[in-house]
Amino acid sequence: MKKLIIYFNFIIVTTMVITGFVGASTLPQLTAAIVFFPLALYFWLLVIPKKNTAIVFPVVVPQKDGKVIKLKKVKEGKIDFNRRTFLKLAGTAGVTVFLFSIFTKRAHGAFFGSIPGPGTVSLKDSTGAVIDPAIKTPTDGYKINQLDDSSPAYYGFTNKDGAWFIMKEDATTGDYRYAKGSSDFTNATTGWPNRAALTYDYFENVF
Amino acid sequence: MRLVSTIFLFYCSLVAVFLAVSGLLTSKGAFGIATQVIFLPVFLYFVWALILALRGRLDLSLEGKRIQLIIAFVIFLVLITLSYFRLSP
Repeated sequence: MKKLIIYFNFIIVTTMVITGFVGASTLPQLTAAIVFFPLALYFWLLVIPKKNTAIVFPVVVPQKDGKVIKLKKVKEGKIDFNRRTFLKLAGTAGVTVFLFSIFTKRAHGAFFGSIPGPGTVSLKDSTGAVIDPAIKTPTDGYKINQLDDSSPAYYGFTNKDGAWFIMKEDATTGDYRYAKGSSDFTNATTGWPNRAALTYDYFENVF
Repeated sequence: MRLVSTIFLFYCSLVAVFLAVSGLLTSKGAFGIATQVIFLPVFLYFVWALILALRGRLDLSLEGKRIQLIIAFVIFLVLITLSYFRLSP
């Protein structure tokens, strides 16, 4: 139980002190980190295992006549038990801190760029504003179908559902005007064949 | 060396008490207090170590830990140097 508390304190205090040093941006913050450093040192000295320098000698087995005829090696046992425990705990703490750093909000930028979180895709423009790449503009999905290269010129577009729009281009004035319909692009009176008589307007008024 | 160890323990205990008490007094809301509870074992450990020291039994002795102290000092110097250069003017 005592060891568990020591290791727990070691992890908490060390994390706090290192975070304090790394995150210090002003002199008072750095001073606070320096003040708390001995706490981490205290638990560090408790946790770091001492190197076992004891030499294992073979046991001399005395016989009745006093002569040594056999040497028996002493069982070494688990002499590095503390070190193993320490390494396990240090490894666990390291993995925990690593995972924690990945899933905090600030770390997302480093690992995922502008993606704010799993399952959501967004991009940022040059000003830093989040834009949705999946947004649909009114003319998305339309492909050109007909072209009348006279003056003014007409461009007919349809989509897969049969909706259409015609763009009228007046090369002399530089005007672009639009007319649209939900179906029947080839209708003789309301569609492409009667394009010259259709009512055209600005893009924002039509769509 | 025993005196140094005792002073070291007393300093750490003082800082731990300050850490726990100031944290509990200044934190607002249940979440803030719950966060401060994490530091409670540190405080309790030092209280326990202090009681042991007052009874004449030190929890930590600095004897024979010269290498660890040197390494800690080097780490301390590295941390302080890096932090100092990152300070905003």
